Amino acid sequence: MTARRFAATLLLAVPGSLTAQQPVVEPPPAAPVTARTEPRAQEALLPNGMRLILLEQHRQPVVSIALTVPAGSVFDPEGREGTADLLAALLTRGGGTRSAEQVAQAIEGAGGSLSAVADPDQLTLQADVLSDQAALALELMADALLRPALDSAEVAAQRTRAASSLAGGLGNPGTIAARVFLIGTYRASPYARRASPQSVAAITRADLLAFHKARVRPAGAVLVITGDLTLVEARRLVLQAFGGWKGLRPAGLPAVAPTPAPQGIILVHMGGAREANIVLGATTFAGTDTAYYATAVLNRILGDGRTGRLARSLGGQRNWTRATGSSFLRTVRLGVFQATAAVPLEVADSTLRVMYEEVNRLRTELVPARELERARESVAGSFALQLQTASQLAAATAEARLLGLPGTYIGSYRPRVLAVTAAQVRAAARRVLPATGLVTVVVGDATRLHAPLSAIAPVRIFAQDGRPLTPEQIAPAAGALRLDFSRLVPRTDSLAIVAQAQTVGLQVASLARAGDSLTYVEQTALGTVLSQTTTLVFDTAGRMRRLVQVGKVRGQDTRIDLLYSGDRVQGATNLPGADGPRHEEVNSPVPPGVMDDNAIQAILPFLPWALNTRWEIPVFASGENRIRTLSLTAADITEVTVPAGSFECYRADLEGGSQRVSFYVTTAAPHRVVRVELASSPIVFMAVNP
Amino acid sequence: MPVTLAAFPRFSAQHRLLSLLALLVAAPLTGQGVGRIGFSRYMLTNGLEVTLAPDRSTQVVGVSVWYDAGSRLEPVAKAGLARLFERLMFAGSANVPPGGHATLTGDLGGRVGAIVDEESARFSTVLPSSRLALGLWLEANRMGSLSITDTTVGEARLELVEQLRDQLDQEPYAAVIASAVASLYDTLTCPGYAHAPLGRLQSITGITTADAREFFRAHYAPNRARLTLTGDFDTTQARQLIAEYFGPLPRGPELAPFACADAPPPAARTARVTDRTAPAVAVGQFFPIPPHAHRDTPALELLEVIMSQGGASRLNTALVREALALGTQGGVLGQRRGPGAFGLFAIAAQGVAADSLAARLGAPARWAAGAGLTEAEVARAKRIYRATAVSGRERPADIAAALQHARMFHDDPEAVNTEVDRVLAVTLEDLRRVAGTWLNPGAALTRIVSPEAAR
Repeated sequence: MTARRFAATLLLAVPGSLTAQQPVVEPPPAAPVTARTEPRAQEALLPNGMRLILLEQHRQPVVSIALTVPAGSVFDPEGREGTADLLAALLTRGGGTRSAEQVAQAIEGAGGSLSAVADPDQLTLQADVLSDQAALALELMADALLRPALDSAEVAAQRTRAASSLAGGLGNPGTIAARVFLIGTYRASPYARRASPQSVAAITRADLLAFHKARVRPAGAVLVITGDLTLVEARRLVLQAFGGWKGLRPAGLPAVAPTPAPQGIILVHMGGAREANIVLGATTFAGTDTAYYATAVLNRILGDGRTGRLARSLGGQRNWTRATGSSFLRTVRLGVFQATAAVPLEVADSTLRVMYEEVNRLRTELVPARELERARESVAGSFALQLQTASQLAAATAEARLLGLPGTYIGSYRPRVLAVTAAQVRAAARRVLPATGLVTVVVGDATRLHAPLSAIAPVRIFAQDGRPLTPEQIAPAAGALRLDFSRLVPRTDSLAIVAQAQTVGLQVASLARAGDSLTYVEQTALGTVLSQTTTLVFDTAGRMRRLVQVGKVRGQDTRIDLLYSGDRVQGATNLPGADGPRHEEVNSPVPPGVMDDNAIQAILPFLPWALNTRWEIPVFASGENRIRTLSLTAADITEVTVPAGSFECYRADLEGGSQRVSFYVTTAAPHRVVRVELASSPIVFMAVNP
Repeated sequence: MPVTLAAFPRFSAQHRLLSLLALLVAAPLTGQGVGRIGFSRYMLTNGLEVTLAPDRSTQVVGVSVWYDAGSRLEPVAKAGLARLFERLMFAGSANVPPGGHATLTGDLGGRVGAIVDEESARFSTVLPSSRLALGLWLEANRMGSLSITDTTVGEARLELVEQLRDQLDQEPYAAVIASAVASLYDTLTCPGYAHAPLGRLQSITGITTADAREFFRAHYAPNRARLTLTGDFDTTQARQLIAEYFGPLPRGPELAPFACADAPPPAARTARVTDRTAPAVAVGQFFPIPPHAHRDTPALELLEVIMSQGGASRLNTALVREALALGTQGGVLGQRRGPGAFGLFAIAAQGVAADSLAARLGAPARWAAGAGLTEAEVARAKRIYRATAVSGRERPADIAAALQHARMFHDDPEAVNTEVDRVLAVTLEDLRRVAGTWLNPGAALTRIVSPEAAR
């Protein structure tokens, strides 16, 4: 027992520390929950086909108005995916006689808010205002929905915003995994449609107008008002704003025939990615299916929240990940259920096995009573907390109506969830996580994931753009360590050393030819922490000749002087140690082609660069007086912007040293290092000279 | 035995009748400031004051406990001690494991909240209404037997130091504003307000377990606390549970009332300070204002809206639209029972000198004091104020906070039903007078903040 733990144990026995003194009392149990009938929905079908639903509440002088039309992303035209989202973003940016700014000022001046959002099935416009501002809110909503300005400049601005946000997401393995999973599960269904930067960029004002004309119609529209308004008044105000709106019911969604799910594991290759993002799951059922309640409880048990089974299996003692969970999407025709995890590459296969095991347990075993009870209460309780305001109630009512659920849905939700049985949870697991037909997507470095995942199930590999790849195509070619000094151009580069947006130091590296030698000199200054000069000498064939490194590290002098000749390295090191400088003589055998471990950055410009090439580099680590093998992989090609400019670069990951280092080397010759990142440090080196 | 009514002569039977009627009559509220909140009130023999405001139209309950245990009561040398309880109150108690209050609540879909500022320590638990008993039990457990050990205090202290570091490292201008507000007060006549609630590194690390125990003993007693219950509950059942869980807790010591001399109006003082997290030069102006219960407060709250809320606000139109500032902020800086503070703040746009921004920052206040203010602007501000007040009276937790506020700052929870009308009754003349009296740039404390030069 350590002194600290001993002290802590003693403290527990000190009187006054009540924790150790009294028998522990259990928390009080839950009271029964019954169905709610209030607030009661009053409905009216307006002459133009709109459905008005009013939930009167006169607690506060506030109303919330939610208007939904069946114009969700599932209706996006082919090649123009993203239309519904873009239209939603534009609806509040000017309408009727008001400009975008006038709309903003009108709603803000009324103390209210106005927003629009598209989801897979519908487009929803929502306004929250004081009840004496209801007429203004309805006027603004009618202008937005029926007479949107769709100003060309606004269209261009919102389109650019949407496209760049999508493009940003496509660099993120989690986003890619979610996207590939939805495409893989939905297959031929229109729910499989996903906006891409290209499809959004192709959307014109004319496309938006055509979509608007086809989908935004009064028949099929549902207008929910909650709060401080009577039906008579609500009806009058709605007719005043929307009475002139005419049009036939838009075409419904064609029936979606389920298609067989792809078998095995879909592996999306992201070269060099340090994490694997896993998504597995399947399509579920239509929005009105009563399996919903058991599925909600199943979701809570498997992975919703900190105490779900996935979090306990993959976090906790194993500590593989904190980023794991499950979720499910409910839509009119067909939903999906998914379990996800983001884990270090090394444990991706073990994680997937655990995920399959957890899913299988739910399919085969009954959930223990206590766990079931907690899950049910959690689902029911969260629902209650999501319905505290007029605004929340309006949104939930509108969504329920669009899904085709009965008027009693909200009131009976909690008792229905609390009545779910263990057998129903197991049945739901069999249905939404079927033994055959589970879609599994893994996004990560396929060069390292292919073999371990193949041991679990057949693996098909795809590039990020969806092209199928063979294992041979992704395997990094072993590159010969052939340094080509023939095209050496003498030059000097400066790299700023930056930490958290502050410049903390500078590195200046120059390369020159001197007789039959090449000399690389690197000077590094990092505040008071470090200042050193490294001189490396190579022969014209790229063999190490000499290293001299002198400087100060945290105020202590360092000096390394090593001579490489044939199969030996000889010299001395003077390095700072805990008890002052440490002097060591060096005289060791080295393998052919060995490099000093300080030489990696110097030789980068002379490697025969090609994507997916891996070089194994034997180095002499002078600090440890031993030979190590470092592995350098050209893992990716990416655009890099540094103070010196923007460059297309190889990202080369160096592994096998004390920490992973990523070098960004220009793809254009003469190759040049423009950025260096250290994996476990906020420090970044960035080229500053053009 | 609970004591009712007698302890509160101002709270008449007529009030109760009115509140019952308000619940029964469902009629549109158009034209009213805010909807009436009905409630009843009583006191336990141990001094715990209870306010019950049932609303059966929701499916959740809000359990709110406010302790008169703000940072103004802590010794300056131990600054941070009061704030320590934001964390310590979740450290467990006799029957609740460490962190149990938050996890038990979270697992049921509920939420917890804790805020300690100069005035008070406020704790809120929201649960599905079937778990009313649990919410009350959890609060009573920590009020009666909070686990204050070297371990729990050590952890809370570490987290507080982290929070302080985060503020210094990641929250531009936050530390500067906190210190400017504190320096509006005299360290001798008003030490309680003359230091920031977050404390300093030395004062936090100096807090001992004994300090925490003593502060808890003195301030976290039933007679220093007010319990407010809102949302979906049965009053009779709630009273039984409250009596069962809170009734046995012992009354704490009686303390001398807090004293703070009104802040002397500072002679106009300008100081230049650096903030290494600041992205750009900024200017702040800070004005001493009267206690929250003062008759000028409604006008000051409306001035806050006029000056800083929304695109059409004075600061936004005068500074941001004119490309002088990247962003602005302004208003009452925390409600206080003692003398308060009002601040105006602007982050300079590229190329705008701090001094010219400082000169312009004073302008909107002068404008309000002069002839520039229009009736339309006032009407707009009142609509925004009312909408904010209304949305702050929708959720049980917010209703509880509004009742607690009324009780703490106006000595009467009934003020929850009159406070908004006081603001809506403010006239243009009131605003001019109040702006002229309190937001006088000549009396302001000015801070010019520069980013620390990168070395």
